[in-house]
Order: sequence, then structure tokens, then C-alpha cells
Amino acid sequence: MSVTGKLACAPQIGDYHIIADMLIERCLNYKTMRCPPMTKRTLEIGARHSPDMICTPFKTTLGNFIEAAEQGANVFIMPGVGCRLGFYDILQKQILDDLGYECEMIALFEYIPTVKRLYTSLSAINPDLTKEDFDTVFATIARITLDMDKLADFIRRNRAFEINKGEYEKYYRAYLDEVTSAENAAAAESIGAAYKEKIESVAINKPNNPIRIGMIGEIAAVVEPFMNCYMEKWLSNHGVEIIRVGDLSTMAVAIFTVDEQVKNSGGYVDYNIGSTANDAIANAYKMAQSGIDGIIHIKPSSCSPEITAMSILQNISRDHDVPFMYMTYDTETSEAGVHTRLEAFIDMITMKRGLQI
Amino acid sequence: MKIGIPRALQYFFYEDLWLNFFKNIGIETIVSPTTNKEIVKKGVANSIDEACFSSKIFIGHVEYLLDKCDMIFVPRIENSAVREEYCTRIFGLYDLVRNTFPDAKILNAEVNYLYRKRESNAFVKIGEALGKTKEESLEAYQNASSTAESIKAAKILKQEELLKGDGIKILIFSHAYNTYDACIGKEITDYFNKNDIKIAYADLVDEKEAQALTKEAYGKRVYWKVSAQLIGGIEKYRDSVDGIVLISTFPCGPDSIFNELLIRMIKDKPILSLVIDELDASAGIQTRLESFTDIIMARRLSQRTPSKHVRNRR
Repeated sequence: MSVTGKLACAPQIGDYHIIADMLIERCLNYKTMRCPPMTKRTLEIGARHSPDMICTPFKTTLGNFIEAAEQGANVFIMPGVGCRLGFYDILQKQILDDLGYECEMIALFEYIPTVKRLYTSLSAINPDLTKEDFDTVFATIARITLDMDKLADFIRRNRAFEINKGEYEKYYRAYLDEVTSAENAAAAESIGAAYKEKIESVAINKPNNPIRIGMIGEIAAVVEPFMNCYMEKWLSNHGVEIIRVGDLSTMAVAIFTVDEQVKNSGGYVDYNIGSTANDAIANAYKMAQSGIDGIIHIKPSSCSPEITAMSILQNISRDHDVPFMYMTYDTETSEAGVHTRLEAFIDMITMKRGLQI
Repeated sequence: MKIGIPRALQYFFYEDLWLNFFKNIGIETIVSPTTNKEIVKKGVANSIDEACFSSKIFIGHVEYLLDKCDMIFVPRIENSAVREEYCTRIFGLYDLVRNTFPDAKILNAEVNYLYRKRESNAFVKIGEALGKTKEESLEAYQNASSTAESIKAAKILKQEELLKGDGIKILIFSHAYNTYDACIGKEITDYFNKNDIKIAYADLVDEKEAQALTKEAYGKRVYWKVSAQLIGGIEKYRDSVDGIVLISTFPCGPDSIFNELLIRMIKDKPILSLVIDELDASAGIQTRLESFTDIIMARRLSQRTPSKHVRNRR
């Protein structure tokens, strides 16, 4: 019973396209497709048609949309809130129009990302969508987001130490496949619980005091492995426990708890400094106090709130003697370059540990 | 007691209000000089590489003032109404300065209408910190505020007069802190003045009128206060000018979206987009200004047969 002729596509940001797809399929009855996996070509076309000064996620998501449009997609999904992200939809629509793709752009929110606003936007497109149906769908995707973030977080902390390599990944992929068919929140929850058990019983060999690295920063760059050059995979392969903040579920909460984060930032900031940068600072402070070995701050090129945050993170680094690595992702970033820096960072941490003992 | 005011970023939005307020409560102020090479150098040295040029200049002005006053005035202004905000670089300034110069004494007050922290309350707080009573500060604020408003209204009127007149006219689309900065916009406005080209500024427009025009043009509320105002200015004045000049500093968040949108949406006026950074390149800018001027002159000459699609993109 899908609306004929409509093929919707969400950009590639980690695995979260499954959430967007469920929302669109179930609330608007549009067919959805996954955009072609991000490659160097995606970046190239995205960058070619984007303004120079814009932040990198604009270029990658535009590349996603163009590649999807080549394969027939004609409805694109953007959040429509955030910092510059709030205006991606109007500019990308204009660029796609200029390129001659006939398409529709759906902005899920306007100005403030509330559930009510989401319902208003969706019911404006599909007048048959009842509040009850929407609530069921929303409860389901909220459950899935929470579950997948929790599972992924557990995996990140332990992947380096699994005995049979690849087991976690296998279960996690299976979970994502299975959960997309969940009819409601309860069904999603039981699938989540079943996989939680499987994932927690994977055999690991974890040393007492492994190197622990924190990952903080801007959500797109932290969450999308292509954008951070498969950093998590590299770190896991080198025996590092990863503590990452900034997945969708924590960010969704973070947007509404800015005052809390400012309070928890150890006096480094007095006010909201914009977007998710407060969350980065509060978490960096918390991690620094917990005696973490090092923190990697990741952001796309020209992300202004995170640039403000960097000035402050430098002070946290100095005051708490925590090494920081700042990684800026743009369309020219090479995987080899990033891995060399990671190697040096881990070497330095290992030596620092040696000195402390 | 002497208060230092950095001549950068917010200063250009609030110049008349701030200076009159401090004058009214009888506090001595020192405004840093117009941006010069030395200030730029200091700003660049104390900033993150990737920060925008305008905020590097701000940091340079703060450093200039460090040993010349008792306190530096860096208020934290998030918005001036609900559902709008300044760019994050601007409302993060206070925390940025505090972390860049931990020993600096900062005179601060918060303006955030989302939390009912009004501008008037902020000035009462500032007055308190300087030993003035609530009544004194409020009166000083109200006087300063009405002075600032009438100055702006007069400027808008004057600009509307200018646009009614003859001659070649261009419209500058640029944040006030770039347009009027000696190291960013001055070279460009000087060039047009020298060549008898009249300059209108997109930010000289009534705020409410601008918001309405912007919403009409984009079908969506633009929540960046300055951009919304500038776009409203473009919508209002574009038909009465010969060309539009966009001036940005590298890398500007709001401009990266709206400059591109304007270039793509406005097809009937020549547009020149200039991006300025700390790598001084006057010769390049001069060349581009000359060719832009040639284009608008040529269009004037051939106005009986206007070519609709002359565009100038960088």
C-alpha cells in the first residue's frame, strides 16, 4: 500500500537510516531505499556541487542524495533543525533542482526538535496519519534507537578483546536486520533483549587495565565510520577500549539538557556555546576526571560550535594532563594519514603509562 | 574604573547602545582602535586555526585591551527575542575569551530571551557590577536604547533616499562586523566610494519587516538573527540596485548557506562574492572589484536590451 512513484532516501549516518526508513515507510507509506554506500565518489560529487565554506556533512549528504537520485530516489529526508543542519534542506533542494533532479525534500522538524513538531510535519504530508499510529511508530523507533545505541556502546568497549573476531559484528548486523520488522515497541524490545543476551555472552579476554580512549565531538563525524576513517575499527584492532559519546539517543536528550551539561562542565563554560559542543565539553571533563588515557575529538571541517569547544578542550587537556587528539574531517582526509596519527597517539599513551608505573 | 570594548563582532551591532549607556552612567570606556595588522597578528596567534577570521580579529582586540583597562566588556548575547539566535561563534564569545585569556577580567551579563533574560536586565546587572543603582542603570539603558534606535531609523531613511536617487548603486550583503571592519570591508567600500558608486547596506532595514520578507522568500523562518535581517534587506532593496556584493570571512557558517542560496536564486542581478581571510590579498580583490564594476557599467549602458542572465560567480 505504498504511495506510487515515491522513493524516499535518508542520508548515510551510521546505521540510523533504518530509523528514518521506518518512520517514512510507516507514517507516509513511501517506499524507501538505502543510498549507495559512501565512497570517494560520493565526496567528490558532493563537494563539487556544494559551497566551499560549508561543513563537510553537507557535502557528504548531498553526495548521498545525488547518487540516490541517479538510482531513482525522489524524496529526500533531512532533520531541518540544528545549527547549519537546519538549513541543509533548503539549499540541497535548490542544488538538486538546479541539477535537474525532480525531487521533494522533507524536513522533519522546524527550529525545535519536539515529537509534536515531528507529527505536525508528517501529518502535513500524509493527512491520513492518525496520532495513535504515529505514536506507535515513534515509540518503536525510540526503543530501537535506545537499544541499538546501548548494544553498540557495549560492543565498542569490548570488541578489542573478543576471542572469535567478528562475532559482535555478526550479532549486531543480525539485530539490525531483524528489528526493522518489529511491529511495535514491545516487539522491538524483546528482539533487543534477545540480542543483548547473545552479545553479552560473547567470549572475551579483557585485561584488567586496557588502554581506554574516549571519542567525543560532532555527531555525524563521530557516528559515521566513513567520516572518521573507520577509527573505531582501527582502535579495536589495536586493543583499545572505546568509550564513545554522541550517539543519536544521547544527543536527542542532550539537546534538551544543555543547562545540565553546562553545570557539569567543571566551570570551563558558563553558558551554552551552541549545538552539541556543550555535550562534548561536559563529557570530556567527566572522562578527564575518570582517568581516561586519551580523548579523540572529531569534527567535520568548519563546524563552528566544535571549534569554540576546541579552545576550551585545550584547557581541560592541560589542567587534567589528558592527551587529546583533534581530528578534523574534510573531503580530502586520507585514511592512511588518520591511521598514522592514531598510531602515534597510542604509542604516546603507552609510553606515558610506562612512565607513570 | 575604565571599561575596554573590543571593536569587533557584537560591537558593530550595539555600538550606539553600548557607548551611550556607559556615557549615561558616567563610566569611562576605551574602544580598541580600528583593526590593524598588529591586532590581526595577535588574534591569529591566540586562536584555533579553523576559527573564522572575524572571531580571530575579536580575540586580537581583546588582547590589545588586556593591559589598557580594568575590565573588558564581553556580554553573552544569545538572541534578542525567542525563536532566533546569533551564530554560535558570537554567543560562545564570553566562554571563548575566558578560556583564551584566563586572567582577563571580564564584564559580562547574559541576554537570552528564551530564559527571560532581557537586555534591560543585563544592563541593570552591568550597572550593579559598576556600583550603580537599578534606577540609574535602567534610565541610562532606556535613553541609550532610544538614541540607538533613532540613529538606526535615520540611517534607514537616508538609505531609502539614496536608493531613490540616480547613479550606479550596489547593495552590500555582509555582517556589520565585516562591512565596517578596517581590515575586511573598508577596502571594498573605499573602492566603490572612489568610483562614485553609491553603496546601500542590506542590514539597514527594519528588523520586523526584514523577518517577514525573509519568511516569504524562503517559506521557512530563518533563525539566525543577522542572516534573516540581511536577507530581508536583499528582498527589500534588490530591485533598486545595479548589483549585489557579498562579503564574508572564512569560514562563516551562516554565509556558507545563504551566499550560495542567493547566488542560485537571484538571476537578474550581477553578484560578486568576496571571501576574506587572514592571507592579505588586496591585489586580487581590486581586480575582482574592477571587473564587477565593468559588468554593472556595461549593463547600465545596454539597459534598453537587458540581458537577463548576467551573473558573476566566483
